[in-house]
Amino acid sequence: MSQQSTTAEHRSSGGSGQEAAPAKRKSAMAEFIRKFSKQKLSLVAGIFIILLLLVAIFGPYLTPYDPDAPDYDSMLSGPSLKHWAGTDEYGRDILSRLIEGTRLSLAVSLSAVFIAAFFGTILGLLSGFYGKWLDRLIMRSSDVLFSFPDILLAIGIVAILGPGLTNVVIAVAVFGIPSFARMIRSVTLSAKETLFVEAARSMGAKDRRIIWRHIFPETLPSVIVNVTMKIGGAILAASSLSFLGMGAKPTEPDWGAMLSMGRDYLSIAPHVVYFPGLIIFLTVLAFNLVGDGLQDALDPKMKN
Amino acid sequence: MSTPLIEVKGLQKSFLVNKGWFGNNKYLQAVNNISFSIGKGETFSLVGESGCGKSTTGRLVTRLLTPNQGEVWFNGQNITQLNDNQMRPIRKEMQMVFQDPYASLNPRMKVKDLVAEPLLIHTKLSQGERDKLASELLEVVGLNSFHAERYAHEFSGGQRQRIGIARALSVRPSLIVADEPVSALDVSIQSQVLNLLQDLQEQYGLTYLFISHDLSVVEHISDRIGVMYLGSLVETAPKDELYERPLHPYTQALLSSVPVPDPSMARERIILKGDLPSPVDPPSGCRFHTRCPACMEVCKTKVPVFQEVEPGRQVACHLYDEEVMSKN
Amino acid sequence: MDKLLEVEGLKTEFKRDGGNVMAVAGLDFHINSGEVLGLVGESGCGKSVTSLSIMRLLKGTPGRNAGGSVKFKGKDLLRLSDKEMRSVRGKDLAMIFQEPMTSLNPVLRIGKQLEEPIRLHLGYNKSKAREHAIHMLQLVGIPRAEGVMNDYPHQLSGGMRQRVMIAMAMSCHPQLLIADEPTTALDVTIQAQILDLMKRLKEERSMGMLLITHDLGVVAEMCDRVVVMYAGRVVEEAPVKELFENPQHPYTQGLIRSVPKLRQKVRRLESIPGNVPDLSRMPAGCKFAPRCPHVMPQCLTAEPELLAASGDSTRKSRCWLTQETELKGGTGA
Repeated sequence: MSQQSTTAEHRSSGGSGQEAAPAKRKSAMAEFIRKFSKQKLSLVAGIFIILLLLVAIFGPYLTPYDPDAPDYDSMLSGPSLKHWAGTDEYGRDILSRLIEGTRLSLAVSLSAVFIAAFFGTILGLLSGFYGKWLDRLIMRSSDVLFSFPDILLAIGIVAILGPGLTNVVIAVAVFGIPSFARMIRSVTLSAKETLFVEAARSMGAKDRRIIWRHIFPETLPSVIVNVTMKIGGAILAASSLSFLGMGAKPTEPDWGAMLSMGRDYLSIAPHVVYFPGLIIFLTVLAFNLVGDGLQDALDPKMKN
Repeated sequence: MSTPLIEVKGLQKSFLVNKGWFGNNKYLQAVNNISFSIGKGETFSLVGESGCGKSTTGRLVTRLLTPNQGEVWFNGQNITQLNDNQMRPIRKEMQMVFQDPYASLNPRMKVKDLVAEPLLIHTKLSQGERDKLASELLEVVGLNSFHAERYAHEFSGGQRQRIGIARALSVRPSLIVADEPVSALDVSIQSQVLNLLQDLQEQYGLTYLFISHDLSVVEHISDRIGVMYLGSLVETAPKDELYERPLHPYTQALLSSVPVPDPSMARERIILKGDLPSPVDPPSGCRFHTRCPACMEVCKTKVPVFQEVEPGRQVACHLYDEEVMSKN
Repeated sequence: MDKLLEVEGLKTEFKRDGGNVMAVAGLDFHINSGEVLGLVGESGCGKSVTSLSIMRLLKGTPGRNAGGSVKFKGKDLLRLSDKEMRSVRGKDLAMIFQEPMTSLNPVLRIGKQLEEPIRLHLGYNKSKAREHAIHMLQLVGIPRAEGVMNDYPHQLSGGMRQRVMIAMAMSCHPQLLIADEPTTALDVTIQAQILDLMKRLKEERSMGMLLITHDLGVVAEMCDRVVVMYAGRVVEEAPVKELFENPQHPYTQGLIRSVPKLRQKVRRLESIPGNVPDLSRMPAGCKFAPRCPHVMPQCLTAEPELLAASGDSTRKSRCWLTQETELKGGTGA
């Protein structure tokens, strides 16, 4: 048989590939949405978070009152039609302050977690990919950070840097780095062993290309899940720092600071702590639920 | 013969499997003192059972692993100790095709990017030029150029292996190391891929190092064959001579073990006793002596020398060592 | 000869995202006692699903039985209660799998796993069961049988594990052994040992065997009769010698020709173009038509039935080609 005809035969034989693509494979995004929306609780939590984000963006247009304007005629008044969540010790509308505080709390926790994710992921990738002394250095350093109770470490950092929301962001970010680094390292270690990474090496690809093009995308689902999971914790930590007077100034409408200020009036006006506490609780819960849902939806081993 | 494309001398590689507490580390001897050469345009196959070190050898030749001892020569150049940067231009000349077409293609990349990845690494072509070449390569391996925009998971096993072959071909290498390229495929697809490999060899003058456990496939594709057992090369021979008259007792047993798809053929079968010994703690002397039907006293203590016994045929067996046999 | 197992119109459905697909679409075959029947086909043809359906092991998979009957010694297995089925499974009807590790419990010693079914099905006491278990291990050629009784599965090599699986399957004297790719995970020298063992045991015990494999070499060495499956259907059935000498269905022909054979000197292998059709997008008419070199217009519209060749009831083929010549012959006479 001549060369030409044999190649033609290949074409016809392999070319029948149109029918071979499995029909059920839709785009990865559609698959993800389908899986995620099967988890009802996470879906509800996701909607809650979206609402929260909208509130954070459009906050100033939604507040029924000026969140900073005192009203000495109605101090510490309970929930009513006029003030849905009551007023605080200066007569400021608590609902308005919560709405305003959404922006602050989310900004603090999101930026802290993103910073932690950024540095943690880089460190994890380097640690897992190169191994040896670099791995030992990074992992032992994170062990040191791990050995402090989270909040104590944050308090220490803020104590050194001085109070203020920027420093809270730094503190929360620093204690978030080791957990990202560890997790990304373990994903990197397994991704490094995959055949397509070995194939890339055999082609002569440089380390940088292998890390960014082949390994990093493998770690992305874990990064996303971990970010979501960590936001809840970061909100709690930031609120705790504010509660302890190390974060937001008492005048700022931060959820934690509001909780802290209301503490003194707990016995006579419980609503002053009740509503900030509730919103912190719900937000943390929502982020954790979404994190769980994402984990299941992004896990390729979970079918259906 | 002109300079061989690949020449391997006394290659040895062991892996640390168990770090002992008092320095008594355990090593797995994956490849033990093997030597062979592959001429330009030739297909040389390494055949053997699991754990015999054939895949490790392939990775040593392509320098994905660095040997503990021995040398690898490529096109007259010693590449044993080259670092990553020095290896890069040589990698352009030696590409690999892997066993598992599902795992060796990054699931997050489009087919055109998969096929063109070596071009991106080794050439300064623009995206447009790479895409064009990728489409052409897909046609060469029997796929359609419109497949370029899809992802690997949309293809069947045989088609994915075609993608893997197109990728290896993209930088026009002189050597392709194919590690069990058809063993994950169904028989009817297997023959399509084998035919493709043969056509490409003719078309592009490729040299193959073909690694497989399947003796029928190896016979079909090879010019010369090396049989490995437990990290050692026990026999090399031109294909026809090996299959017609295997010399090493292991080769004989291996060949007689293959089930033949012909019910009317009655055969004398050599069934080896026992299991493969552990490569962490290989037998003394000849490594095959624990299962060898022709084992002699000398085999238990003395390692047989891998030497030429006939023109073009090397064997590591005391049966063919005149010095040993004359003493007995 | 009496029929040990008779499968009629067996259908197995699989749940998928876009609805159900027929993995096994109306299977008919039988096994005589003492006979080895080979079930051959490529991945996805439904051969493993068939064995699970017969053993009623579909629970926990997305599959379910969708009709047909599986008569074992005249009793329809598909209509037995779970309890009745358990007393048949492991006793009269035993199965070995491709990867023995998946069917051995990793945290139990080999001895315990062997003794349990023996005590259950044969009613032996503990010491007698142990004795029998050791005897079985010796029978399958395990050198230090008593030592192996105290081992865990991971301490054994692949070949040893498969021997243990065979010992376990054979321990209650089954009349039918279903072996699903029993040697595919093994090296060829070990495969030769296991095939040799299975052949010997089958002859000593005169038991029937359903051997499921993709390896035509194994079929040629082991089987008396062969059923070839394609896309969930039987496309050809024949005694082993006839099948290899004169395959009738174009798929069987292509399959046999595409396997490289030792000492066969050909420059090019023949191959079957294209790929196995996806279960959810089956072609109308003959399922092999899109890949068939002899395809005719009627193949694309109507699916042929599995019919016996004229004058030879042992051979059946699902192809318009053979059936049409018959038709023509019929009208011509």
